[in-house]
Amino acid sequence: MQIQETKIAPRLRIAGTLIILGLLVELFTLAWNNPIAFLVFLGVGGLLIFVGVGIYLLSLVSGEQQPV
Amino acid sequence: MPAGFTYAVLIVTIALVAAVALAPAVTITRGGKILAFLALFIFPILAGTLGYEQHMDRSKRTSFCLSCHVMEPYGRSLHVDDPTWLPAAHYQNNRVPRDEACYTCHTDYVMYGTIKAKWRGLHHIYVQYLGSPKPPLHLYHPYNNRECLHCHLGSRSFEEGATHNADPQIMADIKSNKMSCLSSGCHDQVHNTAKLDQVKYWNGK
Repeated sequence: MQIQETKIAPRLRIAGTLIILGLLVELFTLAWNNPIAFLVFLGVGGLLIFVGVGIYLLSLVSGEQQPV
Repeated sequence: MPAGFTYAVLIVTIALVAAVALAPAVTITRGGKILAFLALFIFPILAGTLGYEQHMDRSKRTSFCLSCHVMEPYGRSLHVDDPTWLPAAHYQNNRVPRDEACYTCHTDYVMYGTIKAKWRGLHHIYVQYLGSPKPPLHLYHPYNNRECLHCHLGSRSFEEGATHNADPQIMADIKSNKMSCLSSGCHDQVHNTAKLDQVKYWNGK
C-alpha cells in the first residue's frame, strides 16, 4: 500500500507525542511514593493527556483526509 | 483495580499511541481511523482513569499518611503497648484495616465524605510543601461520634456496655453526638504525642 501523508498527520503526531508524554508522567507518578505525586499526575500528566486528546479531536472536526 | 492491570493498560496505550503517531498514514483506511480513535481517545481516557483510581487508593494508605514527617509521631502512637490508647488498640487488634488505619477513622462517613477527606488531603500537601505545619496538629472540627458509630453502632460491646447504659440519657447523648466519645473523659487517650517518650511499645507490625 502506498503511504500517503494526510493534512491531519502533523496534528496526529503532536497529539500522540503529548499523550505519550502524559502517560509517561502517569507511569512515573505511579512508581513515585510521594504525596506530591498525585499533583504531578493531575497537573502535568493529566494536562498533557487532555491537550493531546483535544488536539486529536480538533483534528477530526477541522482536518481533511486529503493527501497533500 | 490491581496495579498490574493499570500498568498493563498504560504500556499498551503507549504502544498504540506510538504506532499511530509514527505512522499517521494508517488513518487513511477505515481500520486505521478506528485504531487512531482507540489509541488517541479511548485508551488514554481509560489509562488516565485507572491511574487516578490508583492514586486515590494509595492516598488512603497508612504509609501514605505517614510519609509526611510531621505525621511520624502519630504513626508511632499506633504501636503503643497500652490498650487504653484508642488508636493503638484499634490498629493492633485489627478493628481498623492496618493499611488504611488513618483514613478509616479520619474520613467523614457522610455523603461526599471521601471527597471532603481528599480535599483536606490536598490542603495538607499545600501546608507540607508551601507552608509550615506546626505540631501538635489539630482536627478541623471536634471529632464526631458518627465516625466511631459507623462501626460500633449495633455491636454488643457498645450497645450493652455498662457505662453506656448507666443512664438512658447517656446512650441518647452519645448517638446524637451531644456527649463526645473522646473528649468526655471516657476514651480520651488518643494520639497523645506529648507522652510518646514515656510509654512502652508493642513489637508487632
